[in-house]
Amino acid sequence: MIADIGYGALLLAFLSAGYAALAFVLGQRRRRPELIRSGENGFRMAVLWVVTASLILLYLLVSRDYQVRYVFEHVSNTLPLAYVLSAFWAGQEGSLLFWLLLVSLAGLVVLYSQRDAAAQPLRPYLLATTAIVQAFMALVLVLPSNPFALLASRPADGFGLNPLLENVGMIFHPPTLFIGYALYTIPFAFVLAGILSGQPSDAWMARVRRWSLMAWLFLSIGIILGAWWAYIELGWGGYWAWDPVENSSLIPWLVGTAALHSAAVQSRRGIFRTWTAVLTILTFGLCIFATFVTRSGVIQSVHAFERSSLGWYFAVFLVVAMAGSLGLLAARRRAFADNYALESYLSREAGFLIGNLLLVGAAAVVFLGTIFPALTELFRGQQVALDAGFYNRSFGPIGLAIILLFGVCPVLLWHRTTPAQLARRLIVPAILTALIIAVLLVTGWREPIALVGFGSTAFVAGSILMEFGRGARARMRSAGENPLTALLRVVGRDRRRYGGLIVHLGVLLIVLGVVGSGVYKQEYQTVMKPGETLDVAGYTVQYLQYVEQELPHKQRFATILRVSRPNGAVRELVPEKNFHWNVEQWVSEVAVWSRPAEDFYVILAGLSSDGSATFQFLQEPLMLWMWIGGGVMVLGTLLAWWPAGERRRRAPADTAEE
Amino acid sequence: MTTEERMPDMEMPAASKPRPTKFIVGGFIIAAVVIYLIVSSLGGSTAYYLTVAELMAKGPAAVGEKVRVSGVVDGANIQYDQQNLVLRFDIVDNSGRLPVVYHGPRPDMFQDQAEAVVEGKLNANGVFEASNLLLKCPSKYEAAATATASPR
Repeated sequence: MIADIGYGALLLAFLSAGYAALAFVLGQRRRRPELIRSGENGFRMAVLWVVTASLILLYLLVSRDYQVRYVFEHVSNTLPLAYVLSAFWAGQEGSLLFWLLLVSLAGLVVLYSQRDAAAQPLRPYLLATTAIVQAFMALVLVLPSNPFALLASRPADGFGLNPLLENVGMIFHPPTLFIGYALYTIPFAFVLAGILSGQPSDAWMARVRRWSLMAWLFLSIGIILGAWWAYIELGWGGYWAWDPVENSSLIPWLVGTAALHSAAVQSRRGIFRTWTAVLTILTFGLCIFATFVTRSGVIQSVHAFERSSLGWYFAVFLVVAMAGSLGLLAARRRAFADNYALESYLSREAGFLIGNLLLVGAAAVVFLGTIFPALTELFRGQQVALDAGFYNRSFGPIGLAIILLFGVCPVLLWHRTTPAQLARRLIVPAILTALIIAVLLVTGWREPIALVGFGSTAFVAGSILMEFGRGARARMRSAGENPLTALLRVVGRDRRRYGGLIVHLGVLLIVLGVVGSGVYKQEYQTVMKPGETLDVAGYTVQYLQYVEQELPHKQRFATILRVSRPNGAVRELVPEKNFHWNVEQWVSEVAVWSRPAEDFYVILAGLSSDGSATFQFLQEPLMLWMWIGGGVMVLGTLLAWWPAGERRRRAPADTAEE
Repeated sequence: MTTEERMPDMEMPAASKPRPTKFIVGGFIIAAVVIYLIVSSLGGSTAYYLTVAELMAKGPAAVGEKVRVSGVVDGANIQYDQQNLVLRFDIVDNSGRLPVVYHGPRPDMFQDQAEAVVEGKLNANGVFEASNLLLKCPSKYEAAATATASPR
């Protein structure tokens, strides 16, 4: 039976990874290179078994072997192939196997890339940590969460995927998040290896950076795709509901962001070493927490712990990993001592530190809000839930402070900055902000939150864009280049810095979308008969036709609308409401006309047999910028991540900064 | 991989390290502000999580208090006014029944026997005015099968 082979592969993966971890640690402690080499072989075997198990699960899904419970629950005869493949990570067992596969592949890259002399002392511990994480996940898959469990009989058809998950965003959203979670194992492994091997932190922190950035990039993409999926598929016009699963992806993202910035200061100035290590460890812990929350629903109630043993496995692993690594760090903190102390509040390092504390504060707010029901149940015997208002009032101001720092931090100098220097560099953005606010007031955008939001966006964007201008001008003068070449060169030569600034610009665009749609969202609802025309919010909506179709997996009810603008632009929008046979449930498909100024979002809220339909129209200003901002963030991160080619190597002293 | 990384400038001796008291103060101020924000934001945002029976047990004391109530949708009593988007239904558990009114489009997952969580207030007539309706499929879908509907 093929499923049994899959289970056997998981068991062997667990044993091989466990053996590898043991061999690495013993080999390094007792200075026995042959044991380390044997550990490496064990590691390769573990990866091989994990890949085998994954391929077998994929094969079972594609061949629709419904005797396997996981296949039965997530695949059906009518499910298209793309969704059959995505069923690999659609359920708990499969997604945990996917997680294990990703950690294994990342571990393999580490095995083959960290081979230079400087990496030698780290290498055994690095691989041992990765192997321990693999062994834990394999254990979970072998015991409480077996993807290869069988049903007593073989049903003729499977249950199929939840129709809400049948969306392009849902093919990519869970795996990107899981890639992010899994990749954060490697930075954690580096920190642990650094502590255990006693190597100076600066030497290996530089190696961690590209791994952390990559993990952070996937986490960011995953969060943005999740928001987009919620917006398009859940059909309530929102993109973020502060629910536990969403929150649990945001928390490691916030702490991981803090870790990236702290590491940047460490590599530049040799300070914040302990802080960077702590943040890296916490980010990993929070990724494990997120994996667990996503896949168990435990946060709804601590009682879920009693129902599923999965919770205990994760809780024990999390406590041991966090207490162990933070304890080790405390014991070896001398090796993480800083070279300097901070000199002045008006310095870039102080700005980074404040930003770091705010990010961690924001993460603490979200974490507390997420576990609040469980906490109150534990201590008061009664669950108390928090609504979105809590997050808006607490996360909002912290977020605003972080955004404002985007504008101040880049113009601060290292070591210290005089107030006069600071004022000189901020005067233009400040004037720009005043102008923008004046224009907003005149044109009727008078909500206080919008003024604060758009005003700070203008201030920060001005400050960042001037930073690009300053760099380019310096180069034009010194190298006599034309403005465009100078700009490209200056960005190309300090990709870390300018990549980071571009990410900040992306965040600003997202803020535009958040504020625009948050403050100025408008709702209209109306009943229309086929053939009727209606003017709503500056759009002319003509209800052309009502379509009913019987498809293999659903009954389709669609309304075809012709929507036009006063300027003559026309778009056909087709909101639907479909009945899916497998779940015996309605699934609405919204239709959206996205323009830079605003989204026009149509929900088919009700339908009668004569074709008369109830529509809900939402006007969401500036939403499009949220997704564009996400794209800009990705580009900026890639720029910061991109390795300098051989030919571009330069002396460490050469920088474009003051 | 490390060649493009700048090593930290080491020109200053590690010896001179004054205790940066003023920065510790700054850190505490930020922590205090965050804690203040959390505590002050709790007000008005908390809602007790109750079952239908627990809400019934509170009696008139429960009127006007913001709570979240979970129960199962009773398919026999669903009334949906398509024109005005008003949804009336009962949620039940083993010992109670709660009439609910919700303004907004009928959520896709809303059906007989769906597990529902309603957030809102009980009015003086004993009808629960839900501002938020959260549904969980009766089937064994996992976390992703929860969808939120929140009008206005």
